[in-house]
Amino acid sequence: MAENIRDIKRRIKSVNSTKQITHAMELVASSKLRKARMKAEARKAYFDTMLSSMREMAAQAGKVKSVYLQEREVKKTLYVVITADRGLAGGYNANVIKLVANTIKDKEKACLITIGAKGRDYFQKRGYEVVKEFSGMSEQPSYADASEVGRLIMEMYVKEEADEVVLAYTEFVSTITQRANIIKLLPISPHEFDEEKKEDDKEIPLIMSYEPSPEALLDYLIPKYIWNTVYGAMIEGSASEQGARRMAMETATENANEMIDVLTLHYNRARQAQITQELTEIIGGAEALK
Amino acid sequence: MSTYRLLIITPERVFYDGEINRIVLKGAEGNMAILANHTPLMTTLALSELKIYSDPKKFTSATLLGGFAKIEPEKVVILADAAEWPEEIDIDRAQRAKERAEAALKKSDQDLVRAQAALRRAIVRIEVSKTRENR
Repeated sequence: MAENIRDIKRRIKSVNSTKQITHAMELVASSKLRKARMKAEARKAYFDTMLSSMREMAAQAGKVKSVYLQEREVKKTLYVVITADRGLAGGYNANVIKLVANTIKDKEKACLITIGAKGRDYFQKRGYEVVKEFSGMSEQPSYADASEVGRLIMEMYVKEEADEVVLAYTEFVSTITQRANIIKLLPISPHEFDEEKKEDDKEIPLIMSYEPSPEALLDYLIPKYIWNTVYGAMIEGSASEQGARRMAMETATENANEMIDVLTLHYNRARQAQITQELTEIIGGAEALK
Repeated sequence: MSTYRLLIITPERVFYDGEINRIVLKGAEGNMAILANHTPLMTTLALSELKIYSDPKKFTSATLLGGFAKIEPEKVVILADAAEWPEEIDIDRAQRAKERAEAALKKSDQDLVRAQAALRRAIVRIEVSKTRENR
């Protein structure tokens, strides 16, 4: 009996120390999440202004012509997969990876760029063609990282090493929901730049002059648009990673609490049983002496 | 003097947002000063120094590393790839980058366009960082 009590005590101690770790991870994740969300908002301001300027320009320049807008027969699809470098984030990594693995019908027709160590490990091990892998940037993505990825994507597209580029990332819906998502990055759909027709738009557009020319400006902006989309997906991914980790760790902490409660109950019962038994033994002994 | 609103946004943060008197920047076709009520214009920007005049005589400098500006009569929006205040520049790093870029330019087998851009970036950074002491 005494042995049992000591076992339970040891387990309580071990669960408790695990709980402390998960709780600390939860706190760290929520502070990182806040940072990531701030970044996402800053990027949104940039992206929205850029997109609206591009639309204005496209309206002025007439039909937009660019290699990045031309569709061609898809012989090879490039998948850019954004995952985390580390685990312990609930289903975060598994969801994106599963989505991509299900989307790829034919391994021969697909190549990948992975951002984050988890994605790289999965796809390399299973014999997919991983053209390039980036790691160490998915937790705190910078614009410089994103433009490096963007440059590589555009190069591959222009050289026709890939005829279509899709981006797989985790969309940050809210702090409790994250959804794995796939979007098409290249070729850009020309409708992307169609001016949105608003019913209540009474504002007369300003007549802009362009230096050097609307076409040149668009040529300059389209790569920026691609980089920014990649950057946005990376930021969403990092926010989702932190969100998922926070949730997972919160659940783990709760489970640990529950376990401690149950174990404490067992412990008290065992202790009580032991006392009762000792008492019975003493009383029994006293009875026998009479 | 009339003022207008200047908004500088980089992908990573809102760099500047405020009423100002004028700015001096380097566009695709050379240097220009933009006062209030400028004609609507959109231009790409060179890697250059940006001078923000909060009143007619006093200005602050900042680096503007590529981007484009959308100029409207009462508002100027600059979308920059990166922007820095003089205080934020690491001079030693810029100096090292400059030397590296110069070395790369001497060898012909390197990526010259990239080295040139790196050199220009370093020079702008060094120039702008010099304005720090003057204040």
